[in-house]
Amino acid sequence: MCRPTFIRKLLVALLWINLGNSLHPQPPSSIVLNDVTRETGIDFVHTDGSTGQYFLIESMSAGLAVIDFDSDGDLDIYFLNGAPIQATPDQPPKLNALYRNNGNWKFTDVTKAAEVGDSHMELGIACADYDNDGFIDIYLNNYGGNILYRNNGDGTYLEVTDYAAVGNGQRVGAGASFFDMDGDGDLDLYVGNYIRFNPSLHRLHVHKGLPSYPSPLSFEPDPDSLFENLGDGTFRDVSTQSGIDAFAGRSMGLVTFDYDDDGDIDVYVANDTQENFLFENDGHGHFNEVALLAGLAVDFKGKAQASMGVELVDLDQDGRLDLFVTSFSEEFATYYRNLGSGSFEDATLRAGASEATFPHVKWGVAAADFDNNSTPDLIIATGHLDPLREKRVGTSSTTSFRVPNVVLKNMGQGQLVDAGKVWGSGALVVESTRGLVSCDLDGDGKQDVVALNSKSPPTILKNDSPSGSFVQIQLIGIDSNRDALGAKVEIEQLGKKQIAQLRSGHSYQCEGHHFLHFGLQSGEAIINADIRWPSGRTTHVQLKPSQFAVIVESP
Amino acid sequence: MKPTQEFDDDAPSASSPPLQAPPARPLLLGLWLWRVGVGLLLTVVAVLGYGSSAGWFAVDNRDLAIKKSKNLVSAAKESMPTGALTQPMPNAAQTSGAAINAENNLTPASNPPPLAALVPEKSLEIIAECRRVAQHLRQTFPNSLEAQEMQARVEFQLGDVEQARATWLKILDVEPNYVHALRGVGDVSTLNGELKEAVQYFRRAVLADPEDLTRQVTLGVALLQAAEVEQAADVLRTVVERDQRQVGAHAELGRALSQAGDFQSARTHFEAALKEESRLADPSKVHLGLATVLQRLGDKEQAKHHQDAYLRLRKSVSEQREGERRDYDDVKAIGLDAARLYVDMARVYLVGRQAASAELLLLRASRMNAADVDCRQALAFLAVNQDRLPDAIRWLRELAVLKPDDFTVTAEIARLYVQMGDPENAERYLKEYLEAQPKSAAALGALAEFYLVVTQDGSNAVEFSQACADVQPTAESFSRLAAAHQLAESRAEAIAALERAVELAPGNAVYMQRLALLRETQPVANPPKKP
Repeated sequence: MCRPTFIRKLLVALLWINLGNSLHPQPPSSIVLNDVTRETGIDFVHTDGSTGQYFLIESMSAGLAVIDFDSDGDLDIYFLNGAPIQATPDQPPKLNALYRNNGNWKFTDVTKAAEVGDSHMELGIACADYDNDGFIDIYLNNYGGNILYRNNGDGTYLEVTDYAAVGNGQRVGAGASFFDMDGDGDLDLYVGNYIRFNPSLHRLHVHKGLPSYPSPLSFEPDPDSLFENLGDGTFRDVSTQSGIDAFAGRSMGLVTFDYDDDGDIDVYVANDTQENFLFENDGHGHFNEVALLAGLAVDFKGKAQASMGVELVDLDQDGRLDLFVTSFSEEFATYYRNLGSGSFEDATLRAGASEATFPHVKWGVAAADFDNNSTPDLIIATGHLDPLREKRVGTSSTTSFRVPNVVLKNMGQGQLVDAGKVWGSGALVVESTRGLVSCDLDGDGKQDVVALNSKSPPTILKNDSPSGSFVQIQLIGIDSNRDALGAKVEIEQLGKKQIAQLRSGHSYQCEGHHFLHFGLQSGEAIINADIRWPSGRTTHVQLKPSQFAVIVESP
Repeated sequence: MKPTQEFDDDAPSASSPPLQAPPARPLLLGLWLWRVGVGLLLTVVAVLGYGSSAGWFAVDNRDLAIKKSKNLVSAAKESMPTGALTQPMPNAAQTSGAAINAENNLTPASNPPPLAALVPEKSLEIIAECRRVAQHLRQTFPNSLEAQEMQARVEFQLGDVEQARATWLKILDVEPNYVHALRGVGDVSTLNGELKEAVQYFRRAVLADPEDLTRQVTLGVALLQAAEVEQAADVLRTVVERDQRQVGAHAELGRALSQAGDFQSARTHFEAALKEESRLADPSKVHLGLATVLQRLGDKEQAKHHQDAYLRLRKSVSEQREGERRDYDDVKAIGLDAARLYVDMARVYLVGRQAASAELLLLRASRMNAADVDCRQALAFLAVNQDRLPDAIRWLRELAVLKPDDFTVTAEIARLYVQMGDPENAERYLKEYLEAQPKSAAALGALAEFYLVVTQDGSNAVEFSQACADVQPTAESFSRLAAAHQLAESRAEAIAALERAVELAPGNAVYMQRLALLRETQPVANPPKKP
């Protein structure tokens, strides 16, 4: 009598094991990003400033920056905040928040001390050492007046917007980027502008009987702005003579990089609901718009997407920098593969994993080799902009205002696999994320993640992936701009090459750190690194795995 | 094979409604009445799903094509109730239904759909009402798959997308080949990013209705979206092989081949699509697709040419889209959606022999959408069916305003006036049309027939028959002219006209017989006057 019962139990147990395996499939990668927000002491809560009038700008929310503001060697976090479009005097202002990294995953709010508590409706940010004094400065691309904070070098900032002449008027901001457009060694400033807006142009929209945000198409697009750094702490608006303001777009994320490998820095702008722009630099600060010709304006269907964020990364590791652009729901996040000679193709379908991004509204995107296996992966911020989506279309099984973010594991040669819900507790965080940046917050050589969530506290994800090896490179320019923005670095280890370029501004209206991080194949073999500086100089160095290298441009 | 147009992924998607056949009515009309009315009748037949083939017709909103799906017939016939209504409706609804009935002089519906007396002024109320009506339809015909399909469509467009999917899946439990449900589940899957699952349903829809090329294009597009590039190309290639004029399929095939790296073939199909550019939903995208492959093939000059075409076309498309967004009116937009759904739900009531309920919905649709042709055609049809000819004329007059170039509407108005014993108004309408369209062969022919058959006015019959034959020199025109001359007692001219008819239709035995008869008949020296 005993024996059949035992066998039955055994069978049941085996069945359970099998069932368990099928219910919890193994992750396609060893990426583990765990939510440690509560441990950090970060108490920032984003507000979009909404007052029930459904101003379009509210739904855009904001980016964030991860920078070493106090030059102590670790990365600090600066969150942007919203504000009411039509503020009333009785409302306390909502401020941006700067958190100093104390180490050991603890952060302290130093906004007041650093004097960076701006209270505008904040949208985008770019950070760089525009005055080449060795300290990173902050530019805020807002609605209703932009702000330039100059770093005093003592942990405080001074607002110098008017002096520097980069206020940009009462426009609606988006992404921004510092880059050396004319190769003169100082950083110029590209400022994305979203739409022509003022509250009088707004009317309350209703969709399916419920209030809703108007379409961006309800507003005129606004040309972007370009400011030339005059080298004395001031800038000159060269939007017209540069050719930039001949093109009106609805800018969102943007990135500056050398798309055609001709040695100067070009500008790629992700536009909402219209063709993206690629401004080709003639090397002297004059630009032609060539996105259509380059294959970067629309997706493979010929559709101008509602593009949001953009990341620069060599996904297929062919030695050319590709672009990954996020977009609205029912659109793929698009992988524009660099074919060389200034030509790109939409390789989304061939890369796979397109299904994972299709239903969501996608915002920030960060490329990083999360598992340090020498192939860059992607993390994508998601979340519908419609807080009433469920009431409007019912409960969807796949997307919502608040949804988990998406991780795409790179299986090599640009083949992407959806990591599903098994990339650590970060996969269980259900928020409406906008800005998102990868960075090494604890100096362990693994890329962590900081995400700004609309109308919620942020999310800090600690990379607990099994250790692989890495090398991290910081560049200091001498003849080039001090941040070496625009420098291209190629590393080689055991015959495998990787390439990256330092840039300011990326993801969704965010600023990332100015270090280059490479995961490695081997923890032992020497790494050959070749640097092409913005000045045109080149440097060759040999590095060891797990090294945090600081390389200074040779005069 | 049915025609398709290019898919426009900017366009909202909606699943296909099944249309249903109203009961037949006897055609107690004279020869000319039938002739002039046949055009409109056929239009009504196409809309209402009543035809000589007794088939079922469906207007697919997304594919913009009229389709016939015979496989629905048996299921629907079986599902139609024969007895009393199964669910009582709220008193308020009955009251409001009665008010509409009284206002429009209709036979009251015993259990009318729950429409408010007035068209709701808020979109949420319109949505709620439409969902209530769908529920009523479902309760009225609990075994009808078409009623379930309508409820799913209402949910998909105005309610809960997941509920729509659940309803379509229930339909598929009963009838696994119900194409509209297959399409519906495919649409929901696409919306949710379940692209491979969507492919499965679209593939089943193709298998269930293999003659419908539109469904194959849908499958091809879904396969491409699901990154099954080679399979997509195969499916789309089959479509264009069967019908070279499938411009949408050519465009999608161009995209698939471009993704597969076969740029030369992609070029061929993009160019084939552009041969009939006016039939493309958005030719700008095809120009851009062609520009991209030309660029890859090294033909930069031609690539630039098509890029310029893209930019030119895109500008107007963008301006139109921006204008639409700026002017978006939710109540109006929801009202139009609901009106469309009411027309389709009315068809289900009609097949279920609940004409009064159907008419209530059609009336509501006509009020919600002043430009809706289908509901007015259906209302005219119902009014004729119930011998409410003035009502029918009222709807037809509205139709004539909406379709000023469509002579069949005017012809039907004239026919009804004649039937009412009012030939003066019939003549007036025909002449008014002719004033606006003096070269309309149909109008000239109809007026000729009017004088020939109704008023027997030989002189006018000859004048308009001759004018018709001048504009449209067919055997039929000359045959009519011969008849007019006969009426006018111009034997020689009648013979000449018939000879011309025989010349144009040498095998027509009737013409030859008439000609022989006419030749045999001796001319009368002093023919008696017509009484």
